[in-house]
Amino acid sequence: MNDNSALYAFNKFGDTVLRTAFAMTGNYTEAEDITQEVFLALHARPQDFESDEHMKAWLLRSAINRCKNLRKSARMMKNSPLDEALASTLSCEFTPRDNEIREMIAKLPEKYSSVIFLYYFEEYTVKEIASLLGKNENTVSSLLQRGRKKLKTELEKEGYVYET
Amino acid sequence: MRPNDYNDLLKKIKCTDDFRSRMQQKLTSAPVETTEYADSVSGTDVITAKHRFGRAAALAAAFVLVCGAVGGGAYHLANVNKTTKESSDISEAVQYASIYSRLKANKELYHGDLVFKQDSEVKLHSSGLDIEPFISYMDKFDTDNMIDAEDFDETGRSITIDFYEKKCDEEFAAKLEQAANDETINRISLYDEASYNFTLYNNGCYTMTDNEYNRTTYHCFTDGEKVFNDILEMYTDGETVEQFNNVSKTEMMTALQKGFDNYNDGKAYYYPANSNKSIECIVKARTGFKDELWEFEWERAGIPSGDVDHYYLGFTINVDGYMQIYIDDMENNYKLKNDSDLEAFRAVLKKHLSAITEFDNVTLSKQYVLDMFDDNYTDGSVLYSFFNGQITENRKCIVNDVDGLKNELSDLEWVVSIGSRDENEEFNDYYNYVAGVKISRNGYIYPDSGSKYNAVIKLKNESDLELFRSILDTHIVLDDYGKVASSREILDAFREDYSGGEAKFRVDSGQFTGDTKCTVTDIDSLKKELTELKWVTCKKDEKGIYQNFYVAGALISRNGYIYPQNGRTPMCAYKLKDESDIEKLCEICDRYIEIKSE
Repeated sequence: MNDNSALYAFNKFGDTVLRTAFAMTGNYTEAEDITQEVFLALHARPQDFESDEHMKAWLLRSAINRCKNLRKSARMMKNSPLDEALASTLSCEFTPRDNEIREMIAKLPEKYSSVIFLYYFEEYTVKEIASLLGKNENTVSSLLQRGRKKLKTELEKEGYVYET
Repeated sequence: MRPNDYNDLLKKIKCTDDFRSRMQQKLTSAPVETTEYADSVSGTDVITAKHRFGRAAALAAAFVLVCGAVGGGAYHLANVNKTTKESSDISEAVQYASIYSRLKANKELYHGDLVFKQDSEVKLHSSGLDIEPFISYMDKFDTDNMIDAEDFDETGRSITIDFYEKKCDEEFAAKLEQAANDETINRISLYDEASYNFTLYNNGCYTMTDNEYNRTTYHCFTDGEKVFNDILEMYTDGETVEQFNNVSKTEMMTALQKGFDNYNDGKAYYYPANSNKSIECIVKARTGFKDELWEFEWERAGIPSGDVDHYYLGFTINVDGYMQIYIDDMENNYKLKNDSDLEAFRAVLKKHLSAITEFDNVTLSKQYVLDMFDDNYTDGSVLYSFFNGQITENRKCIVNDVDGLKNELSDLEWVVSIGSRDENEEFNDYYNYVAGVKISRNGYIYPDSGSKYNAVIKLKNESDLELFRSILDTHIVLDDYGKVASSREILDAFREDYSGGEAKFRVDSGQFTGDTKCTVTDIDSLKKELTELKWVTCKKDEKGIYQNFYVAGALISRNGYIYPQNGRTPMCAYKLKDESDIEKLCEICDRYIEIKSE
């Protein structure tokens, strides 16, 4: 590991932290704020990381903790859809399905959204997630399963199932 | 939601150029001290505020333990008669002390009442228990390690131990004696309130409550089911515990039914041990699978920690003979009762669960397609949904010949739909509950709860789509006559490729009188003006349709009817909602359709 600086961390893991925060809040503006807090905190109090993976784990954990605090606080902003301006800035296109999923993410309790993100997107194993979040493996497995179920229930509420 | 949808969205989320540049500027400037909590790192783990609290608690607990050893009795006696305090009065040391440590420090003063509940029903109640075995057992664990209340999950099985002061027995005996001598006392309470409570659920989650300080802490054992059974065995015999852990055939049938009901996204997932890459599977025959799992004898048991090959299909099955099924949001864990059944159990898994790729482009047998349908369904109404990302409209339909429909559909060539599918394409207008399946007009059959199989199947050849739709139109007919027809329906009644010009007029009053040639001068205006009238759905065989009508892309009857001619078998015809509009209809026809002179 060559560089422990916050700038190096941001250049390497800025997108990862932003996605983590988005996966937990479902709100792009909030995700940017959280990302900024994480890297500024690291800038103010540099850490001694053993490897890039160690740095990444620290950043993810820090982002998740901040999202938890945000959800507990009254600071949470009203969720707004992914708009055209953002799509144009990111040079991508948000489909109606993207907005539906964003809404689901925003509604999902934090305990589920963090494990779902780490498992499905970051592809950590249950064991790694347990270690990262300080939970036991059974709890992580159970949260994963319940999170999936909860998402399904939320989707059903929105009418995206094929029963009527 | 499928993981792909989720990943696709997240991949689009990245730092904007503006944000990136602002951050880079901030991170190259001198740092600004923040006043928020600091994250600290130990080894590879990030230590959070929660962990630091844990350390503080451990420190405080150690303090209490020392005090307890030196003068615990005195400490306790000084406090036993105090009423419950408000949290704000609690000294910091007590506030952060582990409740278990406080109980343990004065263990000789207490005995316990144990209640074992299963699905809210009390199965066992024992009083006056010696708590020493419990204390010795709990000492093996780190009881200072707490979890957040929001991570705490209750299950359907619980053990509660209420810790009462032994002196309550004396008080109770005195109360009894007093009641015996005083006829006005007809009720006495056993104890006023337990000093501490311990409640454990079979998933390992447990609470410790200190009633004196009105405080509850949340914890979790790693191997919940084992601890649950160990504590139960402390206060009852092994035979009774075994009896509690027995799973009746009826209970298992309900559990499996609930488990399979959760499985409705058409796929199962296989998770090899030590991997987070799942392999998509299909259940070859749901009913057969359920029955064969049910044939085994099951008992309640925790699923051991550690990564083991497992399947998820609305519930979890692990290849070591365990199942985890959520019933009414409660976790239920089962284990094969007899280890000798393990081989047969694995054979059942192998028989019924196959990697979906095995079916790639393989034409399914006629019988497979027939088996997609629920045999118990013979007729009845179904719902036809116009779907475009969301259901926009529902119409009631009737399946007029279930066997004919099944037979004709199974004569077509079908394959399992594999990979990430476009649901909007699949379900662009579909029929619900058709004999245990859903049928999309785009050529997909989706298994429903009544279906034997679980995989979504699709037409192998796109060229069969027209035939497929005509089979649907023949056997599934609209059954909500009198419903106001939309402009779209009226426009759809016309042949797409008809651009006006040549048409026919037929006068038929029971006796065929031949066609008269006509010309449609402006088909678009004709259609537009027709849609401006109010139409309702009606049966296709109403006599008025076939008297005095034009054949002009659709049948337009001067009696106030339109009969679709769009190339598909119509589900209904349309008639004017108000008979008074017939005159207007005739005026429109006369304006745009000219009878050619012979």
